[in-house]
Formats: sequence, structure tokens, C-alpha cells
Amino acid sequence: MAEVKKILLIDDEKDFCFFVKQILERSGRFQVSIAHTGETGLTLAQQNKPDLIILDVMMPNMSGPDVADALLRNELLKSVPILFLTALVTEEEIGSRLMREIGGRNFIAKPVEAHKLISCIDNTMRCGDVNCGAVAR
Amino acid sequence: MIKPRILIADDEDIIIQLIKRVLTDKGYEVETAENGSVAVEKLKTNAFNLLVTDLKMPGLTGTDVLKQIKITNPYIEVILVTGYPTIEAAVEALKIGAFDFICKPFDINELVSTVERCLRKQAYAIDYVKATELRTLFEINRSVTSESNLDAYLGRILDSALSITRAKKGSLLMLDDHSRQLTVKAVRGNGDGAASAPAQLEVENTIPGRVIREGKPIVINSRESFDELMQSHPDMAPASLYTPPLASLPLRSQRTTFGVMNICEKESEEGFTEREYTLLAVLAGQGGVAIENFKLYNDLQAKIEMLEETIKKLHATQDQLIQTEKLASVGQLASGIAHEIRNPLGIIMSGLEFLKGTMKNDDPMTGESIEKMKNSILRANNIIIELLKFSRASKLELKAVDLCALIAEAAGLLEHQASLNAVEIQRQFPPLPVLIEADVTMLRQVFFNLFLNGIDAMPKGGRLSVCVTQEQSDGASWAGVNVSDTGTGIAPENLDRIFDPFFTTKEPGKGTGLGLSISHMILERHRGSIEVKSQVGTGTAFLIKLPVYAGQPAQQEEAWQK
Ligand SMILES: Nc1ncnc2c1ncn2[C@@H]1O[C@H](COP(=O)(O)OP(=O)(O)OP(=O)(O)O)[C@@H](O)[C@H]1O
Ligand SMILES: [Mg+2]
Repeated sequence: MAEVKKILLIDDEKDFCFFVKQILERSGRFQVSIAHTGETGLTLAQQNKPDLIILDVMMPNMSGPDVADALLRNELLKSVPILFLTALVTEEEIGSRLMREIGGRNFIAKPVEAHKLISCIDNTMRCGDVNCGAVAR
Repeated sequence: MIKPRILIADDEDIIIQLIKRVLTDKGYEVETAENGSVAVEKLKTNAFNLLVTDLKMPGLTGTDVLKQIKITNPYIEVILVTGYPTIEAAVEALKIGAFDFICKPFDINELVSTVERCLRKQAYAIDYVKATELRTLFEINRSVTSESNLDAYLGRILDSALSITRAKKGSLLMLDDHSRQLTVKAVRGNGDGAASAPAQLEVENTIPGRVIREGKPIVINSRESFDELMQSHPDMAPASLYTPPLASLPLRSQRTTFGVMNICEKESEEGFTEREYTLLAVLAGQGGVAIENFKLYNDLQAKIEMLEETIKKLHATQDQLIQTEKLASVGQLASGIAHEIRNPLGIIMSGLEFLKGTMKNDDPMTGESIEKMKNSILRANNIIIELLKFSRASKLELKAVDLCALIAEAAGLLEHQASLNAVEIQRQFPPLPVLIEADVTMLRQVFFNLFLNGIDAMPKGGRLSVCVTQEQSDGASWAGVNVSDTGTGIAPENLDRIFDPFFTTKEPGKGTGLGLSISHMILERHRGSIEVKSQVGTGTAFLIKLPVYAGQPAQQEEAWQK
């Protein structure tokens, strides 16, 4: 049995976080902590370095890309793979902000089915370049 | 073109001179008035297209002037200028018929563009009034509208002329403006005369021709004077046609001579009496009026057709604009909606996944229900994705491609699906490539949409034809694509709506109603257009037009110079 991976989920949609946590933990392969703002997310990450961060793009105050920026500038956390999560994926968003500035390439669009989410998580942790979910391109 | 005339009224001389100079430079004829009463006086005695007036002037204000002149000259347009703008004054001015309102200090360009806009609107309004007047005239003159109608009328005139004068022979000739030939419109006269009369006569060297040229009647009352005429003009032909006495009268209106009426060979040998001649002149006058009306009618009809064509074109442009507006607003909405809806969809989806896992028993009904719910979420999500594509503001990636190849590719992708539905795809391409500048992915989507719609419209199978042509019109080269099917057709009341976002007649889940509106937008961005023709029960045809890629002549020229 593989070791349990630590996932940090940062998303302001509380109900969404709750369900995703249940789904992922039920698989027995993940242990999920939750933050509802970018700021708390960063604090949590520093306290307990996760194996993967799932990061919502659109959040009030500190947005997903802002958080990713901060993570990249942090020696301890810059190697943590990020899986972006978004309800609004346009080419502009992905193209300009995520791809160029941050270098993040993995994203998944809401709504997402459990098996897709899990395979995306696996791919991201293997540092693959696979995009998941239906994306408008 | 007559120069539009503009009157400027202002109590400040500097402003008057400034506006006058600018507008004169723009090619308008400009007059000035230093106060309201002078303006009103000038407007009463001269025709102006436009009044540009200051609002606040000693004595009559701009509003006073506006009120007074709109009564006597409803067509004049007025632009108000003021240094003390208030909303109330502006609203009041527009209410009583000002075209627009400019605040001092004003930007000269703004003034010029307002003037131009205003005169354009006026020209259009006047055209409209003209069209209405023409239409009225057209109704009045309905009596002599067709060629055969005119012939019968002229025949009646000739018959009256013969019976009044008790003459045996007569003819009525009409002048053809282009060939300068006289055509026989009516001829009377027993046997030989009628039969031997040629259908056409030259204007040169004939008696009727001379009448036409001079616009004056010729009356010859005796054999002697007839012979005299023939002798002095030996080439005046054909003498045999006429037996004196002879009266040849022009059919004319005030300005033009349209033809000639000839009357000759009276039952008695005597000449025409004064009274007979007067009556003949009246009849000839009536003939002239009839011919004039007929010509006028034809001209009018041509003009009316032209105007109607113009109006139709205007409406079409307007429709296109409205459609574009609609699509743009949907695009703006899209990103907002996407965020608001996809988040809850995300919650529902993960909630369902969660429930699926917590269920103890493996009741197939429950599992199935959850799958159905998940499918509905994906369906809603698909609409959002389509919308997002729609709002995509990115630039087109244009490159020169062969339209035929692009269409063939889109058709190829659907070949299998078509054959499953017993639909035969027919292609008709010109021998040479039709080059256009296009974003291949987007344009392929357009034809994909159209083909899919066609296949959907033929549930019992049929034929889907796509025909590409290259055409020349208005000095430009166009690629035309006709995509037609033998399907159900579109109900007339739906024809206006099929390009609207979300309009669909398909079952829930089968169509988003975005296919055509997206296609419309894509074509628009390619400077193209799409039209539809459809008949219920027969089929539907979509006609697409795209500008043909003309290459880069500038670069070619450079290369040639080197
Ligand atoms: N070739 C056709 N024959 C008959 N009706 C048509 C045809 N093309 C379009 N329509 C009508 O126009 C409607 C709108 O078409 P449109 O492509 O925009 O959406 P849709 O086909 O309903 O959905 P989608 O394209 O998103 O699957 C259709 O639902 C249909 O009623
Ligand atoms: Mg469609």
C-alpha cells in the first residue's frame, strides 16, 4: 500500500471543499486539509508542507495565481506541484496568467467527476502536463 | 450635387466666424445671422438645410427660433449650441425637434461630425418623403400603365380625331428617345394606306419627322401646296402615304415632343376647318399627356423599385447589426454566468460522488439515478463551455487557405455519421482553389455546425449538398458557399430566430441552440455573411459569403521592382 499523500485544497467554496475532502479521503490514498482563503492556505502550507496543492483560481482578495506566485517565491514550497481548479477557464486566463507568469500547467474545470479528479491529481504529482476536465479553448 | 446650406445664428461674432470658416472649408454654403430675429427672417426667405444656433441670444432665443421655423419648414434640421448646458434645456430642445445639442466650448471636430450626421439623416428623410410622393403620383397615373394600355388609348384618340374630321386615314407615331426613330403606335385607313405604312419612320426627311424636329404642326389643305412641299423637298418621303388635305400635329407636353398624329384624306375634298383643327390640337395634346404619363410611370416604377431595394438593403444591414449586438451581449454575459453556474455545478457533482460512496446497498436504481443526475450536470456544463467559447476575445489566427479543402475536411469528419442517417453528402467545388483568409479551426466549426444541422433536419435520410463558387460583385471577389439539405425546413415564424443564441427546436439535451449564433459570429469576424432560405417540407439552404483573399499586392510589387 502506497503512502498517504497530503493534499491542501484552497477554495472559497466551502461545500465544494467538504465534498471533495470526503471523496478523496474515502479512497484511502489522500489526507486533505482545507483553506478557504489564499492567506490561510499559505500559512497551512508553511506549517505542514503538502505533497500537492489544489488551488482555486478565482477567490476574493488573494487569487489563485497570487497564491501560486507566493508559493514559487518560497524556498520550501516552490517544488510543490499545483493543480489549478477553476470555474472559469478561458484561453486568456490560462494562457497569460497561469502559463506564462507562473508556469503552472495543470488545471481542472468545475464541475469534475471523482475519477477524473483523482487521475488529474495523480498526473500532476507525476509532474505530467495533462490538462483535465472540459476546458474552453 | 448641390451644396447643403447652413445658417449660423449666434450673438458672438467670433463664434460665427469660426463656425463659418470651418463649415465653408468642409464644402457647405454658409450664411450667418447675428440674432434670433435676423435668423427667422433669413429662414423665411431662403431655403436652408440646417440651422446651427446659439441657445442664449438677446431677443429671440435659439429655442424660440427653433419653435417658429419648425412650423413653416418641418424639414430643416437644427443643432443648438450653448455655453450654459443644463439637462432640462437639452431635453426641451430635443423635444421640440432639435437634432442635437453641443456645449461650448466645443470641439470643432465634434461640431463637424454632428453636422455631417445631421445632414445624412436629413437626406435619408427627404428620400423617404420623395418615395412617398412618387408613390402617390404612381397611383394617379395608373390608367395608362402598360404598353398595350397606352396603345389602346392612343387608338381611341386617333379614332376620335378621324371621326371628328371625317378623314379616312390616320396614324399615330411615337418617338423613341434612343434610336430617334418613329414607331407606329396606331394606324387607321382602309386597305392600302394602312398595309403599306412602314412600322418605323426616320425622323430625317419625313413630314412627321419635321413636326417632331420643329415641335410645330404642319397643315396642308390643298393638293397644290402638298405638291409644292414635295417638290421643294424631293427627299421628303414617302409622298404616296399621304393624300391631302393633311394635318400632322405634334403629341407633346410642355417641354418635349413625344410623337406625331397624322390625319389625311378627308371624305370631302375640302381642307380642315378652324374648328376641326382646334379639336385635333386638343386630341394631340391628350395623346401627348398620355405618352408623358406612361413614360413618367415607367421612370417612377424604376425609381420606386430602386428605392424599395435600398430600403430592403437598409433593413438587412440593420438586422445584421441587431444580431451582432445580441451576440456581443451574450458574450459579455458568458464569463459571468460561467463562474456563477459552474461553482454550484461543482458542488452538486462532488456531492453526488460523495453520496454514491456513502450508499450502503448496491441498489441499481439509486446508482442509475445518480448517473442520470451527473449527466444532467455535464449537459448544463456543456452549454457553459459553448458560451465560454463564444466570449473568447482572442484574436483570429488568420492564414490563407483553400476554402474547398477546409469544407471537404469538415464534410469528411461527418461522412460516417451522415451514412448512418442515410444522408448522402454531395460536394461541388470549382476546379481551382478558392483562397480565403481564415482562422481554420473557427471556420471549420461553422461548416461542421451547418452540416450537423442539415443531417439533423433529415431524420429519414436525404441529400446534403455543398457548393462552392467564386463570384465577382461590387468590384470585389467573393467566395460563396451554398449548404442545402432536403430536410424538414424551417417554419417561417422561426426563420428570424434561428441565429439567436439558445434558439433551438431540438429535444432538451440534443441541441444548445448556439450552433448558428456562433457560426454567425465567426463569419462576421471573417468579414463574411450568412443568409438562410427555407421551405417547410422541401428543405433549407444556407448561403455563406466570404471575401476572397487577394494576396499582398504591395509586397509583390516590391519584389518586382528589385
Ligand atoms: N438545416 C436546417 N434545417 C431545419 N432546421 C434547421 C436547420 N438548421 C438550423 N435549423 C433550426 O435552427 C435551430 C437552431 O440551430 P442551431 O444550430 O443554432 O442550434 P441547434 O442545432 O438546435 O443546437 P446545437 O447546434 O447547439 O446542437 C435548430 O434547432 C433548428 O430548429
Ligand atoms: Mg446546430
